[in-house]
Amino acid sequence: MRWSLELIPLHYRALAAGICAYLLWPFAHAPQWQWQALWQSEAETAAALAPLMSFYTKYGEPALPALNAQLELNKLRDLELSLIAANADFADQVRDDTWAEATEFMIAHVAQNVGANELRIYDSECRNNLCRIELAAPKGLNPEFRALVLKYAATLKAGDLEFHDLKEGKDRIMLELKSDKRLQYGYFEERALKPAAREQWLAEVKAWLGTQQHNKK
Amino acid sequence: MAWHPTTQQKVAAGYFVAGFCAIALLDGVLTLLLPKPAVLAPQPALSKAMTRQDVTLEQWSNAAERLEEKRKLARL
Repeated sequence: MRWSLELIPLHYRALAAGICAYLLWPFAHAPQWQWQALWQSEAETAAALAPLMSFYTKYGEPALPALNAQLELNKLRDLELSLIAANADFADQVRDDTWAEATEFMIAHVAQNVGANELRIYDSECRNNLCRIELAAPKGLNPEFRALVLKYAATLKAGDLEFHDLKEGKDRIMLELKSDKRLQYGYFEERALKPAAREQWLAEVKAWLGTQQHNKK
Repeated sequence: MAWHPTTQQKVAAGYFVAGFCAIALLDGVLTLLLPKPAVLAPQPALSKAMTRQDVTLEQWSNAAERLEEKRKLARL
């Protein structure tokens, strides 16, 4: 007899569904810092809490909303850093069409104008903030060709493309360039990075800083 | 015609609520039983605010440090 979910009595399935519903509720768990206190010594937790305690002793309870807002903003920053790390390699990036098309056009245009048409591009591809250009190098990376590539890279740098990597092949070189543009993410990542409450968190921090300035006067 | 749940469906809904409440109770007891750093004992307001955020002690301290930096920059 083949196993199926139907074999489990309905009330057990309902019980498990209730447990899962609670566990999937984001505010339902004991906070990480409390679990942390379970395996860390009192001295370790006191050391980890030292900057927080000194801040709280100094500013007291009125600073709590701003502190909470800053914590949320830090979480957003951490999320963005993890997304940047996940997009560090060319192979991991998805294409930002608008930027990629414009940059590929610029790459081709600059190649024609640098060194009087001596550079031949086999292929160029841009993705999210990285571009790969395959340049024909039939004689390898000799001094003349190196000077030409450096001139090409310097011209592209003026167009916001920094040198990132260079790989030498048999009859070609692969030049990788990086822009400092903001990465474009998918719908869900962008939504997670810009939640509706973000403006409120920024306003809370700003309000607290304003209060501090006012108190100083 | 209006839909009416069968007895079996009502029992299943009861088990769903019971499962939800049981694990919520267990979690609540666990939150009470888990140790809290001794330095937090004299600061109940801070301790209460911290319980609402599922982050590490370091993340709390980083937020405090960042806020202090912002305050210094705002004073310049």
